[in-house]
Amino acid sequence: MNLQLNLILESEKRSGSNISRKFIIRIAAISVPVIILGIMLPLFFASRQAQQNLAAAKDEKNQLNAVHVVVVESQNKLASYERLLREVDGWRKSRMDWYEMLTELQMLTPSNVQFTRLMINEGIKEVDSVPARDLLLMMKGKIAGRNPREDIQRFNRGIRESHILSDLMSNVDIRLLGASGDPGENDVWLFDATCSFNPRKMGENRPVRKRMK
Amino acid sequence: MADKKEQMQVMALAILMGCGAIFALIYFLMMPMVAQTRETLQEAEKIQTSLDEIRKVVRDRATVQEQITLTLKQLREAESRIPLPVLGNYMIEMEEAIRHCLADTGVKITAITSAGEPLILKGGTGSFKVFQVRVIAEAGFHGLARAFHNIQHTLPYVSVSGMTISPEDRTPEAHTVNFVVSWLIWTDPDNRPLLEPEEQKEN
Repeated sequence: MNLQLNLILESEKRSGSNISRKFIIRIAAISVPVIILGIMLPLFFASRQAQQNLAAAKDEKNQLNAVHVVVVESQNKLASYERLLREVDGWRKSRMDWYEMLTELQMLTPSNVQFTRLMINEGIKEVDSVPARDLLLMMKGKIAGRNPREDIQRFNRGIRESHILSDLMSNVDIRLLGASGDPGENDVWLFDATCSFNPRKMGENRPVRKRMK
Repeated sequence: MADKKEQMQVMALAILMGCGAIFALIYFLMMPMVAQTRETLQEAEKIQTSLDEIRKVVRDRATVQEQITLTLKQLREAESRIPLPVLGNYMIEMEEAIRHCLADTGVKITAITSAGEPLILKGGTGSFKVFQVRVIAEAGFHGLARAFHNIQHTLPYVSVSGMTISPEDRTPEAHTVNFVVSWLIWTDPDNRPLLEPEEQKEN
């Protein structure tokens, strides 16, 4: 007959497991704060570093601000001076070289053509937000000979093919109006011509060029 | 038995409190810290970007100053050729300049008059106007072309901006010419942009 005696009180009973509850509690009591510290410390240092960087950047910005304001003012001043210079230069460079233009026109005029009136009108208009010279040349004249149409065509062709004038003008329109009607003038015909120029912008070094078709 | 139960309850409470503490730590300490750090980093980055711009601008200081000096020199040169009114009048100086340019060209001046109110340069900076002078003269074609050449080469800010040539029956070589000469003038000569403040006070 076997008799089993249990002398351990209920409160004195311990787990048979190798890892005791106490051990888990101890491990948890150490590891949880360590883990928290492991997360918190780098975060804290990163935050401090970021704040230091921010403060340093703010300091540098404050130091540079005064110089920056001066330089920006200088840049604005330069921009306004450059605008003025562009306008003044544009005015100068956009001028029509009348000497060259009139000399070329005279060279191209056939010997049997006589001008009775030559008019040039210049207006100033805005092209692409800059002032531009808008020029128009009007001519009236007489042409002597039996083939006025051919002479007019030759004159027209001469203007269109002229290296100087074709670059300057956008359109040439020469019309034969009819016989002079003057009893003393046989085979004399009247014509008029209108030549439009490309706008000459004052904001650019070169005028806008649209060659005649 | 009762002790074990009590222990379990104490443990459950401890775990609950521990979880609560961790939650509080995360919610009230870590998360604000992360948010603040992120905010700080973003602000620092923004400041760094603007600092880069500022540094770039500041680095250009010398170049800007050089360009100002150069541009100002060119402008002063131009300014010296833009007429200022003499006793509120531009005509005296302009008439003299035109007569000088037309001398020795064979152009006989009949009259030099003002062509009206100064024009506004549409699309311009507003600093300049155009003062126009009408010249009536008798001239041959060559003489006139030479006169225009003289005007445009002697006076760089003056342009011939309109003309009418009508031949005279009695003198085929000389025509009646009527042309307009345009001068670039300051819109407000007393407050022109290039004047230093001291000069403005004097005016």
